[in-house]
Amino acid sequence: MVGAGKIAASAHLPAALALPNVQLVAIVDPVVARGQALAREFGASTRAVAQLDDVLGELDGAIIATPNFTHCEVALKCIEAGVATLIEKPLATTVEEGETIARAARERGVTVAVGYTTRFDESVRVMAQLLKAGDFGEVRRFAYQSGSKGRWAPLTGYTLDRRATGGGVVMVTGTHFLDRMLSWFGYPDEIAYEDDADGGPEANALAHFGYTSRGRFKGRVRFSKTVSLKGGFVMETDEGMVVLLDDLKKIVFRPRSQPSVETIVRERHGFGHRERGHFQLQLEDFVEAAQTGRPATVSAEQGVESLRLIEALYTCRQPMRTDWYACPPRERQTA
Amino acid sequence: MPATRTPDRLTRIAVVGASGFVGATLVERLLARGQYTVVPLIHSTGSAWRLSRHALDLRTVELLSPEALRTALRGCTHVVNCSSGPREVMLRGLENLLGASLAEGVQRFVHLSSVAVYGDPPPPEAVHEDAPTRPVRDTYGWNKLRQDQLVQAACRRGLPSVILCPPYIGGAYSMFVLRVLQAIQEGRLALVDGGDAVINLVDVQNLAQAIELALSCATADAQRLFVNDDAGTTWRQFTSPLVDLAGRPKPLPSISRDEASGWLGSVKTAPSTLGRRMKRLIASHQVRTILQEDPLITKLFQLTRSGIRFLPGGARERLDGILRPPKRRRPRAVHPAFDERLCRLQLRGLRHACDRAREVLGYHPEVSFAGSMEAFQAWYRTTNGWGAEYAPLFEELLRTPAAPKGGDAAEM
Repeated sequence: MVGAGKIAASAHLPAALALPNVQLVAIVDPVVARGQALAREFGASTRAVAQLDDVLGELDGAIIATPNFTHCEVALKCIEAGVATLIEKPLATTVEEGETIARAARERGVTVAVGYTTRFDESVRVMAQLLKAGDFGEVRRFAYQSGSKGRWAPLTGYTLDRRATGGGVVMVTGTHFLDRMLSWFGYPDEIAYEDDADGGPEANALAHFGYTSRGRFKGRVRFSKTVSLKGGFVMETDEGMVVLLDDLKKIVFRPRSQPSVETIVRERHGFGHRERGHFQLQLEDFVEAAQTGRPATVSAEQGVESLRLIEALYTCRQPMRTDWYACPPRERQTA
Repeated sequence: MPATRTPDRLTRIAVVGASGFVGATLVERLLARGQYTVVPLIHSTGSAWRLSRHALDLRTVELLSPEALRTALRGCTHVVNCSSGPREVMLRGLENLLGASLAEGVQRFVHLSSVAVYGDPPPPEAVHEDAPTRPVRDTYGWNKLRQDQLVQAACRRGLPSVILCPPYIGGAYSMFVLRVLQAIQEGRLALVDGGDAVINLVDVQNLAQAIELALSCATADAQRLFVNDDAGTTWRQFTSPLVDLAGRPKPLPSISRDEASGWLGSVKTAPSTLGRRMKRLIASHQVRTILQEDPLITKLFQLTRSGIRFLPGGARERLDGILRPPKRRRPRAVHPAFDERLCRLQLRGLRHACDRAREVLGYHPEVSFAGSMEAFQAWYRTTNGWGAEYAPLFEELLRTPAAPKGGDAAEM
């Protein structure tokens, strides 16, 4: 476990300790006391060390849960040593870094997985299956929004530094939906984007996507770190409306022909994985991929694709309106 | 990296609680002036995104740590306290902040109080600042009053201080205006007597303007100063643009003052006795969690709970009531269709006058009521609106109920 921060404590460590075929060798963090505290908290007889090099020779796999800007360096060290690597999302801070990781993994034949945990949710998988089969009809347009007033605060506070995260709300939380969107619809043909960054990480972002080569539809996506928004995905097809809220509990289909009818869509024998949680399913997938040599469900290449989309968004960035009091004071007095 | 684009200024202003609604507005305003060095102090990085987008050096400080505060205030000439939090932070945290300000030789301390110090509802004399203060013990207003007293004591010990007393705060990012908008969207706002009552509101930019004036005004004797929009706006005028924004039909439902008084008079709050508070503390989640860390206590608790099932009905209910944490009983209104709080505000029938702020600060609000509402609408449309093309999809999203809370958060 590389990194003893909040995501390690709240998600990765409980997942690792719950799996019988995973032995936790060490918690690596420059602040050794933090690793020791985590080990104590979970009652794990695990070493806490400051340097990855101290334990690298003993590992089959590593979970990298450190600030984004460190992912590339740590991952390359693991890959070079032949250690399979699960990297917390995003894969890296730039496409270039991501490609370096993916290339190294290919060349060394080492498994690399990226921590887009929502892909392990049943409703997300079902949505992918039904979209692929065209069971919802022809897609016309979709919309997505997620917003919270801050909340998640990593121990080091690095998310407030654009250089450390590689971006803002899009990179920190929006990347989860963008990954799902890529897995459902593929890479968009057209993009437009605006955000409120003023030298730092953007807190609000609005993206427009157009798909012309695989059907003709478009989508609008909003992410916010200053406004609480009801989070979820809505898609209009020629058959009706499909809704998947961010709790990912159920897909709701409202057929166009029967406005009073609502259908809950799920796997016939579904919800069996619920008690295991996304992080545990992700770790199971990673372990199996490392043991069998099959690609991980979210591979390094897919991680690079997400970074490519985010970089494309930032490249075509337009400033979002933030001058709410735009009129000069005197005009406002008489407005 | 210093939180200013002009680092060699003489005035160095620490804004405590900089990530909040007022704090962030003030920091943005002061930085735009370009004549101050601003030191934004925040409690948690999680809520600081509005400021961090400016690439500022945001410093995290714990108000309960006197040493950390002294370090944070070192070299600051002015301190503005916009912080909020639980009672301990409000009181002990402020004591620490005042102590650090005195120790560091701060020249001016500006504190944000609230009209809540006069009680809820405030007495009719609270048109002016000298009215008697009588908040109910242990309420927000009571804590704010204690804060005022702490600032006044520090002022007597040599810390020149100004206490600003805003009512509800409007403008871009306003949670109060957003609450009213949501009540309108959900059909839960009733206007009392058609909305004739005056609303006490200050635009956040006007409040920031008053704070800026307070940093340099001649009188700093820690006397409370009301800061209002000074527009005499009625609830009908206030809600009219929000009804348009919500896309709801006009007019809003109206109830008479007598009907509203009768309705609200029927809402009784159980007095918070020491016994009730002790019971709530002992049965609280935190205390139970600590106790259940002991395996013996956990086993005992489980045995007791399973044994209760075999007791006769009356005894079972009594014991069950003791073992379960008592639920906080929210007073239920007999008129559940309407927002009780917003109705209560309309019955206050008084307008806080800001003559003293005009005299002491030279305060003349620079944003009009219309300008304030336009700013809120512009902010809301940008951050929440979907436009006509995507509105049907957004409606579908809103009308889909979320599953009950529990389990892992889907995204982190």
